[in-house]
Amino acid sequence: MNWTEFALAVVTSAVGAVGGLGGAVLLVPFLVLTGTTPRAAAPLGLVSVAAGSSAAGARQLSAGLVNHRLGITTELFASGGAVAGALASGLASDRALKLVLAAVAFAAGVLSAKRKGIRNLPAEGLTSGDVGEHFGSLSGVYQLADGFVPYRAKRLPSGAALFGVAGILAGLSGASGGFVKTPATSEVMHVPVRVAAATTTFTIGVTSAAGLIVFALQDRLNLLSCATICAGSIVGATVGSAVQSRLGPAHVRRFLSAALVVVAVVLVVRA
Amino acid sequence: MNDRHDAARLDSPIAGVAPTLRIASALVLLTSLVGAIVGGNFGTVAAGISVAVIVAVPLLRVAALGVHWWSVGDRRFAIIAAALLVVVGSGAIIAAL
Repeated sequence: MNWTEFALAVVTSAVGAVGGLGGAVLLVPFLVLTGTTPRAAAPLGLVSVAAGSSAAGARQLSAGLVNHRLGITTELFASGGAVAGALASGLASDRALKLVLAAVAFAAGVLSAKRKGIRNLPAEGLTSGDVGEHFGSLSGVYQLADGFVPYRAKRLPSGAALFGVAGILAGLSGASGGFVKTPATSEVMHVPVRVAAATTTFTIGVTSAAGLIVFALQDRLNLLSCATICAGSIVGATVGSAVQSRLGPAHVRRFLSAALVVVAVVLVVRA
Repeated sequence: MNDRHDAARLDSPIAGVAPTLRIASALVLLTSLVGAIVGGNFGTVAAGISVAVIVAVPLLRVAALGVHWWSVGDRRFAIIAAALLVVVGSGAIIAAL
């Protein structure tokens, strides 16, 4: 076993699960820095995201944090964008793309850090029996400490447009786009950050699965390296999702903000 | 918002999804560890199983959600789920060409 790959997968997947980012945006640059070629690192990044999404999913689902209707609706725009981005790949230089990604990550991190307080507050009269998502709408209730918080996704057109952009960036770069999706869901659509992070963890699994099918068809998967990354990512994501479930929204937002700034710096350095 | 919430109908989650995800994760962890540690042909087969499972799980989850929403009458979101699978499949085909 390649212990360096394993350790990188554990750490980056744990960070990705806490912030709802997916670990690939951190893992891929670090793999390249440790000698893996970018062509080989990209599929390993998607393996990490898919494994982390699967491992974190059960806990987040049981906690009633995932809004599937919201995730699938927004993922439709992201996947459409990803197809467009994949078709358009080659039109933008790697350096320009990395700088755009860095600017988006930095802006999202700063905006997330600037906001104070909790937007969605617990409501009277709700119980644990109300936790979950609602029939026919992009709304639901989640548990926050001893309270129960209702929420409803707002500004769907703006959010969908950002998801489309995230998809285009993902299609161009091979990243999962989670570092755009979670802030877009939280800051633009006003969905509580823990719900946004958990829902993004679900959707990036779908995106990664689609990408991995392509890489498999192109014979770009080194299965033994995939296995190492897979094992490390499951361990990391299990730890990360356990940590996330114990943190309040303000802590998750601060963590997310810090992680986004780190991502932006890594991208600028790589550009 | 509370008034709207009071009128909202809670959708029961699909039974068995969380346990299935746990079993899938355990299977992936087991097969990926075997693949990474053992290596060789046996390890490669085990690693292939782990990758196949992590690809299949999210797509099957979307399909199951679509079927569930269709069965409970939430047709709009069932169609969105089907459309998502079509987009994902089309993207894979286009990119592979």
